[in-house]
Amino acid sequence: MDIHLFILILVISLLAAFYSAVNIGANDVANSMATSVASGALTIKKAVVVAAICNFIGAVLVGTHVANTIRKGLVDPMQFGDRPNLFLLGMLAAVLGSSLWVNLATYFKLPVSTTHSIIGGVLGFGLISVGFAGIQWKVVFYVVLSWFISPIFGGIIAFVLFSVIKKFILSSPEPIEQTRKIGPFFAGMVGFILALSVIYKGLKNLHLDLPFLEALIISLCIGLLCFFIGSVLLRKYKEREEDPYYQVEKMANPLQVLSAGFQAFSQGANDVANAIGPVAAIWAIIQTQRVENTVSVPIELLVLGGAGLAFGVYTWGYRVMETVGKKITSITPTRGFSAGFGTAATVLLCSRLGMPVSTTHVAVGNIIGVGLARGISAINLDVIKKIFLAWIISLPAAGLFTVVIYFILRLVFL
Amino acid sequence: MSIISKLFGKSPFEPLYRHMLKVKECVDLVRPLMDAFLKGEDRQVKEVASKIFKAEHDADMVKKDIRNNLPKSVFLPVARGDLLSFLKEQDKIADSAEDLAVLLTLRKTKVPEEFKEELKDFVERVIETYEVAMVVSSDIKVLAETSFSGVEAHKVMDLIEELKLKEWEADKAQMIVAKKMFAIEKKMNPVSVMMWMHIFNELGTLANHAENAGDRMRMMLHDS
Repeated sequence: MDIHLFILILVISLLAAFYSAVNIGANDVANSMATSVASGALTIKKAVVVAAICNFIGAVLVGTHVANTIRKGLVDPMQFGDRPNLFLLGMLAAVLGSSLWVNLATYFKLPVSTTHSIIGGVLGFGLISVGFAGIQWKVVFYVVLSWFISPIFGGIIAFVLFSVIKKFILSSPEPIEQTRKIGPFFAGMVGFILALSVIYKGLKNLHLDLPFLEALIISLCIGLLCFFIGSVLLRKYKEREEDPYYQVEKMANPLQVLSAGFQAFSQGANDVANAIGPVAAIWAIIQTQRVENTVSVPIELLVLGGAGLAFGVYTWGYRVMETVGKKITSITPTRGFSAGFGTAATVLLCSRLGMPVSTTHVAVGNIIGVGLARGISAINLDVIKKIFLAWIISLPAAGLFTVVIYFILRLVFL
Repeated sequence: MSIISKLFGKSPFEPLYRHMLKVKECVDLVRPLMDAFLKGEDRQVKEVASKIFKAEHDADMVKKDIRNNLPKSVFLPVARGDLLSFLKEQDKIADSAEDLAVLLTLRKTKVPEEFKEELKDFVERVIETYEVAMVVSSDIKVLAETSFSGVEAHKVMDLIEELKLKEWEADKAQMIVAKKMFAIEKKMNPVSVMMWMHIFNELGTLANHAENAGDRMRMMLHDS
């Protein structure tokens, strides 16, 4: 292939990645922000701005790990050592195929996950090009396992967290006083985990990957800072002549917004890879003219993906929020905080482990976790069946789309 | 449309509260109904009765709405069966008020002076009973907020104990008024006796359903 073709492919894949990022941002903003909007903690406008910023930062700071899994973890690029062009086209096909599938599924109102689709796409291409033995089945196994574990793991966090809130705040004779005492710990916890996940062995792109002890100390300081800010905010709250439980919910508003931002951050970290993972592979090949395993994901791509997410959140996400915010009325800030925190912590952990999980599924698992702690007045469990069905279909469907596009691309370019 | 928003079902507790308001509207009319009846103001009785019919019908509509929105796949913070049986008992309070209103409009029955005071006392006990039941029911939204546990749940449990006591007192009052009536049975028209027994029973049933509603509420509470 000559250089013009390379550039053409790169441009197409960049466009496809950006488009895909915009889609992901628009569709997933509701996961993190819907509860804050529904409970009145944030207006739609503010929610969209917060989500866009947090998505972007998460994508740029922690986006590398999952991107690496997608670009080289499932199908080892070294197998294409002598034919890098095939790998190049395959990755392009994976981006296009999975995007096409997600669009089609969305049109038919199937709740598909972009994560499952991109994995399905990459696997489909791998199977058709290097065959069954060419796939890193161990990684695939861990990834699929994480799809089962992550919603359950998150659900357990949310369950425990809400049970703690219930026991120490909602069941107490002095719920407002208890909120003042316990609330700051929650704020500190969010700050600490968020900081640790970013600083410890993260931020390679900014050359800030600190060793454990230093990272721990800095994170503790940030956690303490959040503790004090929360403490001051809660102390400033003036009691009113109103049912104390409703006042507790009002006091929990800032906590919920904090956890929603945390969630958007971790969402950005995990989901940006769905858009730019394959492009990162293409980029590396074009840059070096051969298949390399060592180059890291360029920060430009993470910025592009993050910008795409933020753009999607800010534009189409606004409309999604308008419909969703009105529909959810049965969730209050204490519940929103529990579910949001559990989701964010789980997704961030998975991102750091390089596991591409579906943030939507984790969010669903967390909401059910709060529900099991008797925190939500009504949950439609039949939604779970639909979600499960959609993800079972996504893998082969996105794979098939990718394979078809792969053959077409081969005919055109080679 | 986001799958997250589909996950959240319609909360049954807001409509349960609305149902309580309708039932309350219904039973709050029992006092004016009985007052008019005791004074022998037939037209007034009919007027109040028709208001009760209307409120009872409204309560029925809310009840249907709640039931229709609670398929088996909906997961609630309380057992679905407990919630539905609470709703059923709460609705029966309104039904009893309606049945009582029907009874009182069926036939002109004069209230004998011999047990008028006892009857008044009985009615007062019944009213006290359902008033406590209504206080219990009106807490449903706060209970949902505290997930049916803790201090709030204990507060409601105490009220339910009080409710049982009130119902027991209503039972005693019913016995007293019935005895008084049979003491003068020779003076009375047998049809009137039959009528009075029905009226006593209906009032007693009203108090019973109020107590049962409390019991059903108790089943939804957690001790933790």
